Amino acid sequence: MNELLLIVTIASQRVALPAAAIESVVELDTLIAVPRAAPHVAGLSALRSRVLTVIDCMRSLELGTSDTSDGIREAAVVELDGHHYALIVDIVEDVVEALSEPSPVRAAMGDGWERVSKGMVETEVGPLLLVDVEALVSGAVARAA
Amino acid sequence: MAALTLKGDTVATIRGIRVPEVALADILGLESAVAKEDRNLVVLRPAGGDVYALGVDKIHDHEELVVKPAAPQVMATGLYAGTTLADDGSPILLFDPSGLAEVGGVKLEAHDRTARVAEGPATNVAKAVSVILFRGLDGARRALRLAVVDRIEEVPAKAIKPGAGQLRVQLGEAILPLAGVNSELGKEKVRIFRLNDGAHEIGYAFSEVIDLATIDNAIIPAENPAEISGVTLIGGEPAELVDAHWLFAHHLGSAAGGAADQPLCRLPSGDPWMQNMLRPIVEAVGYRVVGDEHEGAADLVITSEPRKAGKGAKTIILRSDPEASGDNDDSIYRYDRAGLLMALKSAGGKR
Repeated sequence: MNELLLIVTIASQRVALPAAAIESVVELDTLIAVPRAAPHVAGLSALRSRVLTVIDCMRSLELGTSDTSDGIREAAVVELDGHHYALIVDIVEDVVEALSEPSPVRAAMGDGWERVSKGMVETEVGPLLLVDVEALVSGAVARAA
Repeated sequence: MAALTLKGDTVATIRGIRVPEVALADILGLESAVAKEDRNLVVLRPAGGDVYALGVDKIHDHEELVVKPAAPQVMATGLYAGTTLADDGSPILLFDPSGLAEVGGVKLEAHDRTARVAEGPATNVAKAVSVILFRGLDGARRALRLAVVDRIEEVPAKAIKPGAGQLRVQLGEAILPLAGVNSELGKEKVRIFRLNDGAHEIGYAFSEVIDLATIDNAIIPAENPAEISGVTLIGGEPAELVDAHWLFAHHLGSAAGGAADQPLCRLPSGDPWMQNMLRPIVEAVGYRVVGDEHEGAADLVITSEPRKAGKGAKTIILRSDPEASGDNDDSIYRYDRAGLLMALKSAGGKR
């Protein structure tokens, strides 16, 4: 069976996240700021008595800041090294099947996308960029270090 | 508390000791709505380090928390030790005192291990007895050893009422004997030291805390043992030393002594008269009451049926008839209060 992909929109761009890495999709209501943390750490939230570290994907990609003023944010929850993260995205769309193996993207995408890219995958809704969750979570700063 | 500002770094003087002071808002790069002079100082001693004072806007409460490590992106700041969840489910960040000091520019290593003492002799500091210097309700300067003071509480004056032979104060769910009431309580709030001897607590009312101090001078003992054990000079003025032992001895009375040394008395659990009428008397004499279902040996068994008399243990047999049924009847009429108390006391005494 082919890999399942979660289609999300980040910075108005439709991309795919590996569905196996996603624990759940939630709507965050609380967001506690973490002063002096890396810019892509939007804050902390909680889900079922677990602390979630909230990652702003737009800031992680250095494409601006997600609008978090309306109070409710859609986010994909992932677990990495025992810590839970909520990735703030614009919209969570659908789960689709990958119709091909990821192939290298030869077009210029910009630094942010370049860094998190795992290649292009074909799906029934067209080609999508497969995003590396770990690279999103670690952000631009960690890579420079 | 005086503060001295040197090139942006601040040094606060707390109880004669100079400590570096940093503002939490500055460390976090946040604007503080509270003026610098109005901030509360939290004096911290990071593990293995020197003390410093952290200026915070407001102190909410203290709580015991289960802390979990935070994500690496959060720990990378060096400021935090972990995260926890509040009762309402919202996350709380836990600060790391040494991390705060480091980011705030406090040089923990540059200071002496023993903080510099600005005034008073520094010798024998380790041996000196720490006391809390306070003004009693009557206005007298008094001191209590810090170790016996559990905490300070503020209660409305109506929480203090006489009860069961002495003044008592209600603190939450506990009712404690109250000492130190040597003057008018006032109408509104009363401050209370909660004293703890390890097993029991009593309250001690006072009007204000003056300072924390150490006893550096000779103690002149009082002639008669009472609430005040002596006087000494603290901070250049005489202060009366409150004798915590006397307070506990005087105010705790027969309630002292842990549950473990109380003699056990077995009462029939199914007998309402025994449970409702007799039990309070037995407990007041100092017994711990257990029911029929208690497996171990009891020191005293009280029953209305001679056949159920316990083996080995002392037994008091109660009868409902005022007249004894014969010469061999050693039972006690159940409303013979004096006889009953005598029997209870003698049974407890000859254990």
